[in-house]
Amino acid sequence: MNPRERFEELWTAFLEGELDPELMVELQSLLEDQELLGEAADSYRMHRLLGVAGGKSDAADSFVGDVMSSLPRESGDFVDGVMQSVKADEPVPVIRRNILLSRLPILLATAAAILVGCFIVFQPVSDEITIVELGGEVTLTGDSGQMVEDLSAGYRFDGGTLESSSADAWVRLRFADASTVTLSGRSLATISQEGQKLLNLRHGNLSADVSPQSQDAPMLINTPSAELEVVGTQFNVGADAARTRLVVNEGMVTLTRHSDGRSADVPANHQLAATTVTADELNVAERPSALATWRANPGSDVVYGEWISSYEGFVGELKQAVANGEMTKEEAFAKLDEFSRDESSGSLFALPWFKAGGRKKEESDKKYGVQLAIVSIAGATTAPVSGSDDAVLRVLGRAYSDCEVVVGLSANNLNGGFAGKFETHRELEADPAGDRRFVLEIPLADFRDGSQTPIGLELVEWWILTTDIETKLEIFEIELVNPVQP
Amino acid sequence: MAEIPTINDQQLNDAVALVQDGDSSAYEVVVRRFEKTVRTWLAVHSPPGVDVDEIAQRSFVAAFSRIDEFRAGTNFGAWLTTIARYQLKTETTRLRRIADYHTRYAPDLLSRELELRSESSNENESVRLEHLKACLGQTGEHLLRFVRWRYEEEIPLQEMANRCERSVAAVKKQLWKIRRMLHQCVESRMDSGDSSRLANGGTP
Repeated sequence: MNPRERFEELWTAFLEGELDPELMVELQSLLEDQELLGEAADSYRMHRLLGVAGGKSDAADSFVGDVMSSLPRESGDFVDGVMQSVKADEPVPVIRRNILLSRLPILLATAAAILVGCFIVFQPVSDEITIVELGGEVTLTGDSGQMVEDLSAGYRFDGGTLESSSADAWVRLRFADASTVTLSGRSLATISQEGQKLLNLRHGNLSADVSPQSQDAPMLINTPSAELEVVGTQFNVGADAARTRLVVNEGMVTLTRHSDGRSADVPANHQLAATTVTADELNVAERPSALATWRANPGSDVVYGEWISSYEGFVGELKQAVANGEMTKEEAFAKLDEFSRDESSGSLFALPWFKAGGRKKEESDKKYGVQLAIVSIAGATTAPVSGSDDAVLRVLGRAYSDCEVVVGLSANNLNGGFAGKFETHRELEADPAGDRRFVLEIPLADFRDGSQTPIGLELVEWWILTTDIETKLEIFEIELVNPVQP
Repeated sequence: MAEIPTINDQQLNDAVALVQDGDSSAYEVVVRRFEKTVRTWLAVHSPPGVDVDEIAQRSFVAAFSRIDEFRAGTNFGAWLTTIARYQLKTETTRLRRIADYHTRYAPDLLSRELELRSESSNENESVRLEHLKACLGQTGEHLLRFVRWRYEEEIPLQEMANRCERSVAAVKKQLWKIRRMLHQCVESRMDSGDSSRLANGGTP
């Protein structure tokens, strides 16, 4: 049987749901042939179209009914419902007409009070926050403590804590006044509206496009180290426990440092990095031109993972050698004295991280583990980093077993706003003779979010994750190289 | 639920305006006008594992929630399909995330291929569906019965094999050939210039 015949056999079995997992592996290798993949897609689309053509004739009515019953209720619907209820409950027997007439002002006043009450109760509905788009793992814990994990576009809420927990996660919100806020990467923010928009960004990356706010009630964004006051602008913020990085693209944002109360106005095309250290100046600087190259310093730029310096690693090796009886303590100390205590060199180890969803369909409510490491790009440089068509991301590391990894980049538009999450898959076949080291050289054009690439965008974060938890992954170097850099 | 036989552009525009003014019941006209278009588009572009009707429903609800963003005079169908495309993308990303690598890889390659096609094509899958029906009308009964068994009656392959007194492998082969033949027939019709119908309002 030639490969085409074999493909036809396996593909038909796949469409019929009869393909065993081991044969799936064989099918996957066949589908790497673009021509066969194209035929598979044609066949699949025809298969689905035939399903539609053969569908039941009453499906449309059922579908329309389902949609109409799923529409979010508006305050107007509620008031109408109350009105209908009031009318239905209003007995108007002729014999009691005079009594009713005598009580009419009271009834009208009561109905008016109910309506006013309804209006007040439902006033926040008009201030609801809507999830416009999202991807990756995002959860919302509402004000009442209810956790919502199956969020989807169109979901509305009044306030609560949003967490985007996976490296590829992002969520875009829209407020009633059309202001939008996007959280991306591993970020945690509490959002409330008590007369003004209040966001508490505990950590992570946030991009906002804020409609003009009242001077008396500006949007306030609190990070662990600073407060941002916004009356209408476009800006990006990155925050961790010690730093707040603010880039303003339009308008003006006032940043006030918590530790000493000092403030600085950051105008358009300017940026400011504020630490909690009061001795550090609040230097507002013009946004520099984009850098075409970048080299990570995993020691200080780690968002997720464990950084172990070469020195710490060497200490561990010596302890192990002493424990194994391979050398004495004295010999170990002597070796240590000879070792350069350079804390800037070392390794970033990916750490376990548990994704939602089990390995089998029936285990969709369970979690399974992978190894994950995330490094900040934007937090490490004062200038934006942006790669050209020829740019290549180079990763040097060690994989303790052959595995597949997903390498990703998070990006913003250079002139502001979240742009997307881009990723690519790679097989790691580490050379045992080379201490299981690997070198990945990935053209920037290979990173994809649909058909989009991160070329020309500001790179904000880099991540790598394995497809299982057993694979140990160690990263030595990450850099963006650009062969045509002037 | 009352059947609305044909909804023209004026009726659609009026319904959208009513919904924008707060009359949510008018949205039924919008859903009826586009349910087939959206469900067909999603059926053709969704990878295995996606509940097409659920995504279609989410798309309509999302469009309702954002109805104030729709600008009168622009193509509502295109706007709705963009929302459906994002909803599908969200769902496929979620499925990729929760699926085990070895069980998802082949569908994932297919999913990416379908995603690329959906982004590079503005074809109306409802038109393609009409062409398919015409092609089925020209298909001989000896082949059409397989389509009927598989896609209308949804009987198992073994039952199909028993009915036609052939092996299951032969039935699978037959289904492969029929799908390929119908694909060629539909593409031929799509290429033959009947694309004027693509300009019909509400096309994705």
